[in-house]
Amino acid sequence: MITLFNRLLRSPAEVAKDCRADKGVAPIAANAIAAIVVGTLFFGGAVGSWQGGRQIAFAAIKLTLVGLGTLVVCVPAFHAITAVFGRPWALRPAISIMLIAGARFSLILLAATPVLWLAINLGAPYHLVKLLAALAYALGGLAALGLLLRSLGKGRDQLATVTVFVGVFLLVGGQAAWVLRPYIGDPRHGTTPFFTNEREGGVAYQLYVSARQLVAPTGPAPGSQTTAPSSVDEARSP
Amino acid sequence: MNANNAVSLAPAFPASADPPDDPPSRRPAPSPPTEDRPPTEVAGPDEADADPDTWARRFLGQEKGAAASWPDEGRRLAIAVSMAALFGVSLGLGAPAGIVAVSVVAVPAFAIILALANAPVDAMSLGRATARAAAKAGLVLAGLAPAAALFVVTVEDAITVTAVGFGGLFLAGAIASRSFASELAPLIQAAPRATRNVMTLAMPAFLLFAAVLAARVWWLALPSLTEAL
Repeated sequence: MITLFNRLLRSPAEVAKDCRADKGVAPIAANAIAAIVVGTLFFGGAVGSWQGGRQIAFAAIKLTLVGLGTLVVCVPAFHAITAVFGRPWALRPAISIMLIAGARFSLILLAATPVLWLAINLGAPYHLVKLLAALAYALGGLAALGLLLRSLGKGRDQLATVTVFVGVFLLVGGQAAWVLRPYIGDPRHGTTPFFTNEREGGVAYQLYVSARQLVAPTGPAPGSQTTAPSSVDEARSP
Repeated sequence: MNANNAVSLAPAFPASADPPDDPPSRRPAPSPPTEDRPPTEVAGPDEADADPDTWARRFLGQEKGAAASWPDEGRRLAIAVSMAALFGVSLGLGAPAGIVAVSVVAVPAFAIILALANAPVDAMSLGRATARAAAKAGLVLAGLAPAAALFVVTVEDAITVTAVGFGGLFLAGAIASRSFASELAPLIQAAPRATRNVMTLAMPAFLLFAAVLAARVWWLALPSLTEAL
């Protein structure tokens, strides 16, 4: 397992090559799933530690579900998109490439976990924790994207394949994460439930609302919170 | 997995599908040596032609030396329509209607234009281009079906369903249009200059017509997508 993690981080192209050649993909897939579960569990736990208590377990479980669920939903799309853009792979290589990309992403999250936990331990405010978590996700995404590009090779339509797939992946991942929110726990709420009961449309709708608010601010946006922020955020500020 | 696919779906494309039955000229070329390749690169799609035969390769008609026949292309079109129906599981049964409408209504009209322009495109070539474009559209829609289902089930507003649904259909349509045009491009390039000039206008016009027709059919056949508009 450690050998695979080392190869994933140091020479991802070799792992991708093995996947494409359908060579020893069963252990690669098993270890990749383990990496995804471990990385997202620990990172989720760190995210939930801002609120503390049961939110640590909630966030750990939910982030793991989001990671695995997004991969499951996106595998057929990845297989189809690579096929129509000139890479008609079998399903096994496609699945294993998705898994190793997810594993690389999760290893970055695992590396970011101590940083995030330390920031929270030092009293980082809510919005800083959100930004740090987003930054860790962005770094993990870049690492996974690099592996994906190497897997596809430098042939024709590489950019189109990646662009279309990343678009689908971001939409699905965003929606999956949105469905299982909250993770950190909104400071405006006293207790954080496992699932929120608020109906706020969806991630795409909220992006649209935010963009509209930026272009033409017209007071409280539909679906936005109207309750005044409590002093929780300030209280946790260092 | 690959072997299972080959067994279960082989009847769809029997003649050119199974490597053991293929003549040597149709078999995939052996993999080129990779020692000269930089360690950070993996074979691209051009080199991927040497990859093992897969169901997707056969379905999309990308195997080398594959001969087209009406039954094979008909089966390909039928499977494409069935796969597009997967996208409609969450959005409505009319998802394949756009593909069917373009194949049955728009392509025959285009055949008449091709004949008028004296383009060296026979019915078989046109049917092959149509079936393969439909195959790509169907495969993309089937691939996006789980994502579409996730959105339909979890979003709380109709506009997102509309955006995701039409986004998926637009993507599949764009890929199919590109496939159709590139499939016929070599034939049109071989035509006399006057024919090529006519086709320079006729091909984009057909693609535009096909896009509008498909959009209109989907608009009518998928009321769940238009609820928010």
